[in-house]
Amino acid sequence: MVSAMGEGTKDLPDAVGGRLPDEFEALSGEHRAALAGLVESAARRRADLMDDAIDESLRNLPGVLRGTVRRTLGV
Amino acid sequence: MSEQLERSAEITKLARLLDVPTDELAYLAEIPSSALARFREQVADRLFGGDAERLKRVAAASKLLPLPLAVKLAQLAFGPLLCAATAGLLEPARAAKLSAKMPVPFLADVATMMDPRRAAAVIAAVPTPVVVAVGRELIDRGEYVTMGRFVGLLSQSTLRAAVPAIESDEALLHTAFVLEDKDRLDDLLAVARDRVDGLIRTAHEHDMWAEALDLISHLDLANRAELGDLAAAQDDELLDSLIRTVHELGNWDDMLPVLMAMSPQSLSRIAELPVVVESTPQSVWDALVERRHDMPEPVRELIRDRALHLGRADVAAAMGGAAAPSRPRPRPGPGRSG
Repeated sequence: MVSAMGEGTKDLPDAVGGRLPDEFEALSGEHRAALAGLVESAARRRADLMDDAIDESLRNLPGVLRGTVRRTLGV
Repeated sequence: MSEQLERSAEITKLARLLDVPTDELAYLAEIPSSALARFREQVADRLFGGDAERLKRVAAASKLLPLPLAVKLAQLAFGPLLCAATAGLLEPARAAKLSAKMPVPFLADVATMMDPRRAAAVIAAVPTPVVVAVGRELIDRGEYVTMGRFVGLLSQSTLRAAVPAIESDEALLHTAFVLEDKDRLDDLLAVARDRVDGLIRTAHEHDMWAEALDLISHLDLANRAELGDLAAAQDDELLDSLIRTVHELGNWDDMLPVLMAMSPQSLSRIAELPVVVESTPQSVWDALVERRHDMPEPVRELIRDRALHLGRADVAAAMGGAAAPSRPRPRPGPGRSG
């Protein structure tokens, strides 16, 4: 679990990549920033996990399969 | 009140998606549930929509691998996250064959990491025994939110096989409460009719009346009537706790349609509970009067009599005479398929 308070460098619409439901206008600036931080943090975490998964997959792979997997992943 | 519970369920699901404690999102409590659901979909799109090109390559290339090798690679090389991300891009028939060869704990890991909306066709193609086994594993892990996201995508026949695998009534109630598509609750009830008594007792024993009332409010009229009648057949202690919870939560908006759909005998039992006799709120009398034309005549008559008995001649008069139209009371039919 990661607290993202203070990490809200993007505005909330940027963080989710689109127009927010109108009702979210009611949130204070502080809460919008906190929520944007959480979304950014979750997206970063997921991207890191994906990269790790790919790295790990290549590391653990028997040499004979490594080429196949590299081609599969385009890396 | 139902709206408040919907918000609570939505916040739980969003917290799960963002991997933060639910408390950390407490400031969203005033946002309507429909807006929270739309926002959650936006977040899911952001989290699951990245890497599209790379994932398409994985899915396309995996088609070329023989099945046993693909199964091995999925576990040894790709891992659950990559499998979850690519699941929706596979051909459903191929995905079904792969799933049948993989260990259940691995598939459960995949399920917790995927966005079911992006893999509806694949989920529908997974063999029922695999769905049942993975469902059991998810319940063992307390992954109710994940279960709730998948249930809406299952066919009625798969649901029929999967529900008995959820052996705990408490787990079934938790899952139903966070169900992604609550329009499927009637379908869920159709395959869990033999569990209703247990579910009612569980709601009582685990202080889950609020959740149970929310679920009932999403059912069709016939099912509400059936559940209302079954609840009314329980012991006084249970009924008292139900009505007290309705009082405390101010949840009469959800409860009144249930009362009105009950048989007159069940309604009479509720009406005679001490908690009702002692403290029926004015808002309930007002709501009953307002809905008098929607009531079957025997129910209206019963309420009129109770109002007179409790010294509420004003309510009895407002309920009107026998001239008001009566409607046939809906009765539950056989299990509906969906």
